[in-house]
Amino acid sequence: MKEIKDIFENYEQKPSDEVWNRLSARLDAEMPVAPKVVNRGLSSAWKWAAAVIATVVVAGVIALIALHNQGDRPQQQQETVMEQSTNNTEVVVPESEPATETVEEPLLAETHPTTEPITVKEKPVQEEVTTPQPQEPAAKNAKKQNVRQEVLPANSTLAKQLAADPVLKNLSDGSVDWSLPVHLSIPNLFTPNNDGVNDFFVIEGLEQYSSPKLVVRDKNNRVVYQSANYQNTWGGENCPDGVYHYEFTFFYNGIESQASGKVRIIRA
Amino acid sequence: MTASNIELEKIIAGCIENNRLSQRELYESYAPRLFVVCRRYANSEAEAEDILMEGFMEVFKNLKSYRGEGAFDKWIKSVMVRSAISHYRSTKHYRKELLMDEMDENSLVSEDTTVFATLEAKQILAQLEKCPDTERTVFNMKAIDGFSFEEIAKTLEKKENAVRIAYMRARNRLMAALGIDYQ
Repeated sequence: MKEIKDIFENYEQKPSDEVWNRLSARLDAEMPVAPKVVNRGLSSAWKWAAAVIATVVVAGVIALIALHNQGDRPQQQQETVMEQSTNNTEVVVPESEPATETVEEPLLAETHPTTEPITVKEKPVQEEVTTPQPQEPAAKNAKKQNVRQEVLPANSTLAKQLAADPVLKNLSDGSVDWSLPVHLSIPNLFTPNNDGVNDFFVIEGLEQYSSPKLVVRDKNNRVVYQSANYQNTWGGENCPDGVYHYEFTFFYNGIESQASGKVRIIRA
Repeated sequence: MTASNIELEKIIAGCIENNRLSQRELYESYAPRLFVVCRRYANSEAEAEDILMEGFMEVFKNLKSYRGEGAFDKWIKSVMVRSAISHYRSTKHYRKELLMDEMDENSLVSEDTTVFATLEAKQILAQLEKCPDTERTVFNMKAIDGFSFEEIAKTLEKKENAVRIAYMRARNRLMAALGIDYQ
């Protein structure tokens, strides 16, 4: 007797081509082929920079404390230090940070026993070690390198809103992985030569946003491609090799944001 | 559409080396059949595509652990079924839990699915899509992918009775929708 599973035994249905495009984008992201074409070091470079700033500011704070120690003005001193640390939100690391180092000023505590010991939270040192240096030697050798634009652009309305949010503001020291949930990664070049690698203008993270709209213009400001609901399907059709300007508009929680830049098409 | 054994071995070796062309070849030859597996478990074609993509990511990541024992077709299909089940589990909190009130716990569940024999896969898929997620998942696992009620209950973290009831409901729902008389 035939059963239901037999009905499905030889039944086939081709999924839309879109699936392979998405799959190959995922593969590029999670299992990149060497030599690496996608440079995702930008966001880590940002973290690295934040770590450097943090270290500098911490050094500044310590110097300031030492300076005021000589002046012997406990009240004012404490205020200045507090002001310093609130101005530089970059240095404030959430309490939960596992590897925080507490620097106490023993001299201060001795001279003014009533004053609370001032603690300066420092960024974990390991972050600096594990983070790759922003300039890789390979990047210099490659003529045209595919660098993705990590969008949380300063000019986007989304970024402004984030900056205004008191909770999120304190996290802008690099301890937060900005890749979720507000993250887009836009390439600066793609190679639509049908080799299955980087054939489409793939904006990573697109699916998190509603109404992703893409407009691409050529050098003469003519619109060569536009889509009101972009699904990473632009393969540079009817566009000769060259540089194009894209405007990418998207909605996140009802807020419209825009990212724009240049993208190069290389077929050879 | 399956590649011959030698060809297949070549493709698999290429995939393990993370060669995009081989990965595409593997995808092209298996996607049409596996997509049907995903369609069975999904409530829409879009969801089926998500499951297919996740499943293939798992395939490419775990291909090293496929040692050539047993048929590759079976292995890749079981990866896809696992992908579908984990997708079901990941959407758990959006779902109302199965209600057991009006069901007699001891009611007999007929596991017979020969009644569907005259139908076409397309028709069944269309009706499966309309089933609630839990019923559809249970029905697929039991009637088509050969899991036992016990295994299903364990995998989906549900009571075995709830699974039996879900299966029966799905079966009755399908039979009613497809115009099959039952006693």
